[in-house]
Amino acid sequence: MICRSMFAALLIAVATACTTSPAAPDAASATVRDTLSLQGVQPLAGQAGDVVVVVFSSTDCPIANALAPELERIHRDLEARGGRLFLVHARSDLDAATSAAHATQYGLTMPVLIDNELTLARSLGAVVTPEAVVLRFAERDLWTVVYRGRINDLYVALGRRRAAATSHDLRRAIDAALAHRPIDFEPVAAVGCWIEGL
Amino acid sequence: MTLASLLALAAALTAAGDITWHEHIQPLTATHCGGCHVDGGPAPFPLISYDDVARRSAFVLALVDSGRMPPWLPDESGPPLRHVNKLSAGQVETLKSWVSAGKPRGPEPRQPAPDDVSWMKIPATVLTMSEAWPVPSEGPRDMHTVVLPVGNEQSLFVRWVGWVSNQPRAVHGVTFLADGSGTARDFDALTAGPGYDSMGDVGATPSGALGAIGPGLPRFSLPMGYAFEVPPDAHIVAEVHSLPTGLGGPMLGEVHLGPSEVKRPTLVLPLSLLDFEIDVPPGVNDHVLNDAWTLPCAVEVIGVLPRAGDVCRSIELFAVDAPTAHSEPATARHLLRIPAWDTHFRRPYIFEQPVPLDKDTVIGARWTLDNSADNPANPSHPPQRVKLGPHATDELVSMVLWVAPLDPADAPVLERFLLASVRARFARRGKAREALPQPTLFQSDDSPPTPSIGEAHAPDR
Repeated sequence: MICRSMFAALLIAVATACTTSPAAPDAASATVRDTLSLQGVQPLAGQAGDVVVVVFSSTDCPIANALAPELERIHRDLEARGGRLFLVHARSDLDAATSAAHATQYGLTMPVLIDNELTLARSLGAVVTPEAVVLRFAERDLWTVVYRGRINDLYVALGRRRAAATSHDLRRAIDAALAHRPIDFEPVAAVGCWIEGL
Repeated sequence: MTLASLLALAAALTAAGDITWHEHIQPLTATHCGGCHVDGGPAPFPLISYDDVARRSAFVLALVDSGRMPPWLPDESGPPLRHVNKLSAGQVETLKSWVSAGKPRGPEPRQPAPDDVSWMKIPATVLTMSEAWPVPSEGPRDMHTVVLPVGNEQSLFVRWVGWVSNQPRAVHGVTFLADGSGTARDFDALTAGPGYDSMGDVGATPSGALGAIGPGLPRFSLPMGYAFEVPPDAHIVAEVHSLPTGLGGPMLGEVHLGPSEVKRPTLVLPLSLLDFEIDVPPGVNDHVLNDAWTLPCAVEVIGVLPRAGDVCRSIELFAVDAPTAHSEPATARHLLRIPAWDTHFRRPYIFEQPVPLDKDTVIGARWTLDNSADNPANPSHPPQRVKLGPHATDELVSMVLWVAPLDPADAPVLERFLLASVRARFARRGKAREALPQPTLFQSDDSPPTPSIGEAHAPDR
């Protein structure tokens, strides 16, 4: 399920908000723990043509949990189109058993990883959960950040929730990444629970 | 730097250094956060232990500093309220200082403060659902009404009401009613499964007549000496609002009815204020709805449950004192004002002291609706015409006031008035404004002087 090819991106640059930009140099080599196998995993080990979505999450963030069914659908859709989605719990104190139980409870079938050291969160510039980063494997073994921001607009602000999402930003960003083009909308910062300890 | 300023600086530094978890922060979070942020509670994560709070301190501080948490919507226009969750500026500073100082634990107190469980000592009547209903994992807020038999041969006098469920984090709020007519039971029998997917009002009695719970108020309690009457052979009708959490699944609940501690409590009745004439074009940001009644006798107002949907921006409850021969032009005074309404935090408010109002006082409510794209809570993008209805994209405004006659002899008069007032409101539904029954607050003839609230003008409708 998890590709372990080792194409490390080494371009020195900082991932800025969300327009197409190179990923931070340590993103590709960032290792996080897989909830089920407990093995170290590098989600950004990849190969030419890959589109990878990293969604930072937390098991007890109500906004991340409210969006869990939609993330599962996005994962399945993306997988059918050849891409990969990783759910990464960015928390220093989360253990694998809690993470695995949460994945079972919410019916999540994507790879669920734990970023205890917040390495991946830092290198991809995530600050809240849920926050999505869409990356495309660019030329010369480099990852490009196509999008970083909210999943959709279900939550307008903390505690301000729409009846239904009207703007599906992550899905649009995935379409752009798969089509090898930049996003054609202004990214909006994710609303959610702060990642503590950054 | 003068000696005085040096001393002040030293005092400030000492004060900041002295702020500890055990002495300052734990009592603060226990009072203002722990009621909901507890394992099995309605809020997302516990904020009980040092680790709970310390590991989320940046997020907690940001939410507290912005006023987002603890949730508290009213401003200070009206009389003082009970259970005020809002932190004072000084408390916020205390929290900031504690975080800045490295979140010290400090020495443990010799004896932990006992939890306030005094209300649990008197056994409650617990009504348990035998069959669950499904709540969705996603989608808009969901509403479901369940009907539970009490099995009481005699009237019960109830001072507090609670709701316990297997999905506490999905429950957004519950409003209660005691039905002695059998209407709710019969209505429930018409559909399969427990309860029904419509509102919990029964006839002229509004849901909430028996109290309500919501964010920040997990248990509804009348002041000592006051009670609701649950008539013999009653059914408790609970209108349960749930918020999809991503999980969904079968929902089971229990209604807890706490008895009055006094044998002859003052009985509390519901007064409804509502406006059915809702038709707000898209783009309009100041559409006013209102309702008002002239009181038939002197009453005390115990508390109020404001209700409105996402298009509503602000809510006001006010009183216009009865005119007297020598009185100045009457002015309306706020009993409650919510300048920035948020459906998510809908809950009842109880006055610190019951508010006495004379006979012939006009009591009125005003809801201001914002159906523009600038309203971030607007459920429709782009905005759509908003009409009366129970769904997330509809609007429904009402207010239940819990009142008691100041003179017990006026109870029959008040009861008849409350029943007639709701019937009149239902009767006027859909009719032209010219056909409105009297009294209304802003009528043109023999009306009380035009009320003014600060610089606000009388509602125009």
